[in-house]
Amino acid sequence: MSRGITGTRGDEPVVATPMHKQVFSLVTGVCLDDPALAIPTYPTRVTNGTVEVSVE
Amino acid sequence: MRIVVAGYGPAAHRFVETLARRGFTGTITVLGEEPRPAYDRVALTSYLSGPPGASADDLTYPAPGGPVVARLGDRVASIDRARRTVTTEGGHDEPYDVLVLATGSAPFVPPVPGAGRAFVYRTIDDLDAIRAASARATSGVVVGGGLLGLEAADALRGLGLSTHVVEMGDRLMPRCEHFDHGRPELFEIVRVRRITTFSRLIAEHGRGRGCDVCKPVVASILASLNGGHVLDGERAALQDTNDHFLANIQKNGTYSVVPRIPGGEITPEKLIVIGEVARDFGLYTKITGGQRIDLFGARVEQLPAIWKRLVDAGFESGHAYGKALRTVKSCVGSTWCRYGVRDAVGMAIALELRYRGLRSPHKLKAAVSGPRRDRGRLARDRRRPGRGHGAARRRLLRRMARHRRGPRQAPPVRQLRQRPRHPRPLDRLRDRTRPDQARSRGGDPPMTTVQKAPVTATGERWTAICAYADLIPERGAAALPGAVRSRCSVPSTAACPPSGTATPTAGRT
Repeated sequence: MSRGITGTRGDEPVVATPMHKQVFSLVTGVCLDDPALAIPTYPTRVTNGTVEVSVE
Repeated sequence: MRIVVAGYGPAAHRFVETLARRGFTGTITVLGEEPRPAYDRVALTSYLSGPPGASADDLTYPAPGGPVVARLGDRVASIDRARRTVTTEGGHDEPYDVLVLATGSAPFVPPVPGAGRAFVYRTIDDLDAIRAASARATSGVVVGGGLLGLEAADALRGLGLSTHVVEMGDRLMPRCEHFDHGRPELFEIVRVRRITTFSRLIAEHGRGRGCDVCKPVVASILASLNGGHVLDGERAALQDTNDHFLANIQKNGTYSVVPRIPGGEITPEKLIVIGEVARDFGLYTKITGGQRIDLFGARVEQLPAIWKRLVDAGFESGHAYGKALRTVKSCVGSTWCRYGVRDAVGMAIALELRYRGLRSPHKLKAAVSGPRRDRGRLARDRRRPGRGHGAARRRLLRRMARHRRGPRQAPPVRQLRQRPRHPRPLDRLRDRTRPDQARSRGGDPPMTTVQKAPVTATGERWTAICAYADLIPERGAAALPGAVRSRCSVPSTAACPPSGTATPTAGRT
């Protein structure tokens, strides 16, 4: 997924998988082309220019 | 300053609105054919399919501020440029200092049987006519599967008709969610407005933040028109993974690597290197249709090591993933073929080396053949001239006369390179595959020294003709027909393109 292209679908920020181009929400991780699929999401924030990811 | 706008559609509306916003102080007169001011044509469907009582007013744009006079329902019939006056069908004369033509265009209706019963989908009047006709119809056909075509189809369905869509492309709606334009239109916008970034294009001509469809499309357009490195700055995020890794992603997430093999000609040494790389990295190999070799199954972390081995051996990327020149195939030509009279391999190599790295709106492939006879042409010309005296008969007679003189021939590359007319085939093959020996014998320079030069007529067939032009040092551009010369600027052979127009090849053969 890290190699996918980001963008928006409607107002939803999304990333498209490079292999089959299914689009996943960057907010919820749900696949917009097949709502039965989802990938895990983690809270993030930017602190002083550093991206922090919570894995709790 | 009196500005007169002929036509009152969205373009006229936007023009007037922009003028007003910029504080224009003169007078503006808009002359419209329709009995209502400009309205949102993209939303036309809501007029048909919307709740009962939906009216044309719901679509009408808010009236622009400022000193705008609109004359509706009276279309412009003639323009007198000497008197600077337009005259409407109703006989009204309107003088102007500046005349803006914003008439839009008439939709093309294919001249098929029954076209007289066809409707176009452009104005509110059109929609009223469609709605009236639907009352006594059971099925409808929409020609064109673009945004408006699908909107129209949805509207027909809403009117209770069994609806069909006919589209000439292989998919519906070839536009991107984020732009109301197709690829050719985006190309023109970028070219005319000299746009160099995706963010500016989408801010001024699109909406949202793009997606995996429109970003690579725009990336190719920007690379075609502006040069520069395809992974520079903001552009990197527009490119598919393939352009980042110089390889094609496959179904299991591994990549395949295609080194460039110009014209399909390769030395045993290079073949061995490819074999060794495939063996050492456990790659599946397959000969492609483009006369090169695809190495499949590389994991992403193996790619740098694979490319290091290939580049060290003199290979570069074949751009098998790019909207770029892929490959120039060739038949074996006069080097080996008993019937070959032209150096097809040499020409293919020259073309591929010249245009490698050229980015284009779509992928580019080419092929060269050099047989003795063009059988297709001869077969066609066995037709007998008819009895008429028209242009077609004259053309056919001319062509037959030409064939009596001998077949028409492609520019003789061998002569242009001032080779001996009938060199021994093995000498010629060695010249190409062992350039060091050719040089010491005082032979031709090796083909790899063919200069690259900027091409202005990107992606057009004229580029192929330009390629001939600078392979003809003694004749140059003068050898081209006038019409061709005016279409392309023939570059000097000394001028190399800025290195940035090439994609990252990491090394040159």
